[in-house]
Amino acid sequence: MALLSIRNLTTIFNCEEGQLKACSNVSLDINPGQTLGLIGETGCGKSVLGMSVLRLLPGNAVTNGQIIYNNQDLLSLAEKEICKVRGSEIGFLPQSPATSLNPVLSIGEQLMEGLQLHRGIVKEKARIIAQDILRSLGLKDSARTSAEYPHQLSGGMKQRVLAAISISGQPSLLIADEPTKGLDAVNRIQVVDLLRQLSRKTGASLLLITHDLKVAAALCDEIAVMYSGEIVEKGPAEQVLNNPLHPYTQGLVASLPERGLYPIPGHSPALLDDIPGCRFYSRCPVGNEKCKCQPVTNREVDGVHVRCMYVDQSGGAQQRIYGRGFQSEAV
Amino acid sequence: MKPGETLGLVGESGSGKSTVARTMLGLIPPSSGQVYFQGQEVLTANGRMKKEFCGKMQIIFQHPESALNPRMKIYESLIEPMLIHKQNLSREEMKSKSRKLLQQVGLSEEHLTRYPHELSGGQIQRVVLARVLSLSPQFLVADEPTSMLDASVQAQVLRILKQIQVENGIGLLFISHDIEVVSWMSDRIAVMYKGQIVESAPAEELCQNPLHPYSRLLVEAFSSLEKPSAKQVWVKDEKIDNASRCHYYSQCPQAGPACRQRPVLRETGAEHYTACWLL
Repeated sequence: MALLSIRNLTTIFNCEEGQLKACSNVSLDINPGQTLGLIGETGCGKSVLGMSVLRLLPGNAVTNGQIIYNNQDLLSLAEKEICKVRGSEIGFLPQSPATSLNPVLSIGEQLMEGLQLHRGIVKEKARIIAQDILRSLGLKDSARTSAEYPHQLSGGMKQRVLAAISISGQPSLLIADEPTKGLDAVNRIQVVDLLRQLSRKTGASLLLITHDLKVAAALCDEIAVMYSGEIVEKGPAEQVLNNPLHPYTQGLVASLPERGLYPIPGHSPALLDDIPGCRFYSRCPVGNEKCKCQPVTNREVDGVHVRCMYVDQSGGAQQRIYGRGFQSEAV
Repeated sequence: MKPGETLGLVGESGSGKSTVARTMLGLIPPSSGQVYFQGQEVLTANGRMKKEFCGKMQIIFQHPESALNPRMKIYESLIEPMLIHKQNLSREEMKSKSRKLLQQVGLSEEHLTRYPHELSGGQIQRVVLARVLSLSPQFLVADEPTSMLDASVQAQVLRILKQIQVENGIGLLFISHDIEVVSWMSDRIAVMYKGQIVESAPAEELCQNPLHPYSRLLVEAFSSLEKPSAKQVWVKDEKIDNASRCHYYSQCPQAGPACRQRPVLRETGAEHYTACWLL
């Protein structure tokens, strides 16, 4: 049985300009011990999806649907109840290590806070456990590190400390939001190693939100591709990345430098726009009139769920549509 | 650098890539050394000469969100360099020139009246490129222009940059920590480690036959992310070693007694220079 089931989740922000639909009808399952990658470009709603699960959205957000965790719907829990889930059931590894730690508290204090709060451990014992966790994540001089303040640590060390905090409540699910954004090769490898360690050591499931396809390929069992608030493709990681079915996923893979750096022409529609048909239509190289006006439904092809009518018509995997000939005009 | 050539500069963050670029343009005063542009010394120039160099040598910065004045419309940002460099254009001429520049980078006229916060990161980097082009520079530094952008947007911006560079014969210093992007963009690649160029070679040669142990690690790092890395633990050492030994001494798996002397760049192949005693 799935550890976390998201069913028809729709997250809408009410703003001055109208209703901004950041997630529409998203359904996902994460199994125990599994790593699910959520990939897509900036502004496609992947972070909002993560925040919807933790219910950490601003006041103008409205969430509909169901998020089932441990036989309870997280969306219908009282604020007091969800506080118990955050941290101890579902951990969160935030985006930028530089700004996510409290600058005026020592590392030890920040780690102990979670231990005392979520696991009810007394202060003296918490101090010892905190140092154990730091050591297990490769910060060898843990006594010194826990007495230090965030500005005394390097970026990689801060990331480790954040990881330590996120697992201190022994969560069974960890949500990591863009852990490698803007990092160079060295740090990226370290973070990938760190996440691998975390899931191996704690056995926790991981929801990895990223736009880095290589990191997703290195870590994920399953991958869900998000575009303009919708999940457009979902399936085993290898299949989705090596043999993408949806034209958007194909474009995403083709835009990697080692695949020739072929961009997808145009840009994604504003989340404010209400589009009757496929949201990718304006950029799609194979779309037709039907895609423009009819709502698209999910189809299943060889265990991969894909939201595209074209895949259905051709009755299976379509040939690669991105290549030198097609894309050279796109620029 | 030769005219019209693209030199890629790679290295981890903190290795000094941006410092090199900024020093070249006179944005940071150097402790010692000279920079020559078309045979003339750049850093000691002042007055009219300095302004002329500023027009010919331009830079695109990493962070799109801080590259444009948030209180200026795109049009105002675009014509600012034309005004500063007294190109003596009428209002109409400036308008049509900025329209043309935006077209060159794949944007349209409607963007002229927008403010920076109304554009996406990729669009801003294109506006910045258009603004740079208004001075027809002969040398351009692109300091990690796409590291904050998504893969698809990165592909768009890089293709435009490459196209414009080739069309106008601009010499480009392309800085990035992504060796795959660099190898796609560049004719020649230089690898930087702790403030020193440790290897420099034609792009293809460097990617297929890296000689310096650090470059080898860098090239492998990008291809081996998929496999669990059991072979070499890559620790980042941020201290600059002031002793006279090789900067890579403490990390290098092959370091020997010869490495206690700091190596200099030597020719180790056709147009291939490496700073390592072990070759």
